[in-house]
Amino acid sequence: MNRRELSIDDIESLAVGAWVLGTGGGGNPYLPLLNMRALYREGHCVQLMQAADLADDDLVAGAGGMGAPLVGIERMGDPYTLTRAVRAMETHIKRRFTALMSVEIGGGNGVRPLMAAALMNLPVVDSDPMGRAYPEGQMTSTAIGGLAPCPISLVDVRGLESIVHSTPNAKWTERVARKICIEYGSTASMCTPPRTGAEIKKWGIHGTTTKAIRIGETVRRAQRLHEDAVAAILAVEPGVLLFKGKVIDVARRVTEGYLRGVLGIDGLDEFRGVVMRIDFQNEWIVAYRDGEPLAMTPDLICVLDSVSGEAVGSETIRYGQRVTVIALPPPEIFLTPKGLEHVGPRAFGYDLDYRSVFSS
Amino acid sequence: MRRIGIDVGGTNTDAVLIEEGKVAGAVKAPTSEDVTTGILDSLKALGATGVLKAKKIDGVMIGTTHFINAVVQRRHLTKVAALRLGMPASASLPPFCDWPEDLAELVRGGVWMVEGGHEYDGRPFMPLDEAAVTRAAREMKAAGLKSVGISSIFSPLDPGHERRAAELLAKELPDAAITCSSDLGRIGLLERENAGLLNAALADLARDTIAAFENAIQESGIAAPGAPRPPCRRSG
Repeated sequence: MNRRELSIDDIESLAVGAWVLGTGGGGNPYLPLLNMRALYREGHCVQLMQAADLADDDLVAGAGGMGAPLVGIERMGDPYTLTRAVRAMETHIKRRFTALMSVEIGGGNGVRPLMAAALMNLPVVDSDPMGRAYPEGQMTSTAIGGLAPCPISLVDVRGLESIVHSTPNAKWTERVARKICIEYGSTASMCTPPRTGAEIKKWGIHGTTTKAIRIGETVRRAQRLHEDAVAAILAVEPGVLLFKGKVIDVARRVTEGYLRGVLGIDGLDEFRGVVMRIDFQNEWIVAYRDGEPLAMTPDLICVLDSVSGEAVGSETIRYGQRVTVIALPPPEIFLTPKGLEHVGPRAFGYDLDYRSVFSS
Repeated sequence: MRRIGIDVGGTNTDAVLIEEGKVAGAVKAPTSEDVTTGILDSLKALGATGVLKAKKIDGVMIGTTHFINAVVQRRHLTKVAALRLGMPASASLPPFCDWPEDLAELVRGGVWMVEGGHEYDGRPFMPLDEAAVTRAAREMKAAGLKSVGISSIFSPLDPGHERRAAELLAKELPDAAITCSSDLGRIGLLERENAGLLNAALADLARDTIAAFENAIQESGIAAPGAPRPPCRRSG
């Protein structure tokens, strides 16, 4: 059995890397990281396993948080409530889980399954259904694969537990679960539909926790050595540099529970005289260079602090910040016709055909 | 408008007289270990230039790194009682949880977490547990704590629970310095709470420093109207 015991240093790197893969959304992993530091100080520890080592009839829980990132920094999630979300699902399906998994590697949910894993003494599978962060529950490889959209459990720290038992598709699950979450106060701990080992092996996006740790390690090493952290990421990941500049405008509005808006960046260095505009719905969705679409979902658009190399989120980016924009390649499954239906530009309401920055 | 501005730097204490927005006089004096002697020297030096002669001064503004230095050097810090309103949420990340351990050791006088706080949409997250706040106040008193930092979930949107808890604390601890996080910070519980706890940790130093500043201004013979209250402005 090929398992790796994660050190707290690995988890520090995971937090930095998951924030990069969050592509502007997913919530800052800082608070889940603080929970992990506390759990490790208490002597807990987490094992990372590979999907290939799952037995076909193993049962895997997706454990994470749902809701508005701004609520999550006031009502901070804790490992006990997240564990209750997983236990509530076990009670509902009358089966025990054998492993946990991230519901999205990008942002705070890249770290959260470790919080429950530490308390439940279960391994975390090195896979997830997004390979990044996305704003909606049906924007996953598992939904593209047509896996069961239910049940899903939602738990609030005050003793509220809900199960969405049956819906015809993932979009309905998202709508109903979102309503429950809003009643809770727009934050909930959740367990996504249980998956068998066979399903994860076929439909999971693999190696994403390891990838986030690798990116985070790269950034942290560059910071220690006072090197260019963005260049360091591009040296280890097959990404491309899109833009470098200074934030000149951020327009945000909250609609339908999402943070939508436009970011404007004025070019610096070799990009002087050029303007980039990036539309966001929690995550960076489409980047335009001088008005022409340059990069779009499902390509990962990552806005990084030009000095530290750390990710900058759509809810905290501010005027005057020096940022560098890079693109990272998307998971293969999102490039299929069915995949683009779920996460391509049209899924976000853009009348654009997907053109990858990696295809030219 | 005629005001004196004093900037206490690491090396020099600068004093300037500003009349109708223009610099009318400027001097330097070495910054002293106790800060106030340097301020007094700079005021005397400014007086010696003759620019102040027979003029009414509207105010004296002092900018100082005195407080940040106290935190950096871990000196003159007050033990603080942390009261957070928001249980049962966030219990795994209590006040002081992301402080450097040595600073937390110096400042953490005790942590109390009780039910209370609000939702983002204005509903109460939990009703404020007033009995628990009063119990906490008695325990703080028994522990000899005189400075309290109060935080509450979404208090920038509704500071009601923090204000009510401050009233309840004041009944039991009439001499305590009480800081409400909603007066200092914005959304982000830990960050705002940390700002409040730091402010509370500087309570004694602030009182002593302000008294010393007032003495220095009086001794200098400048006729400044009673320093406006609160005399401090925190930015950054």
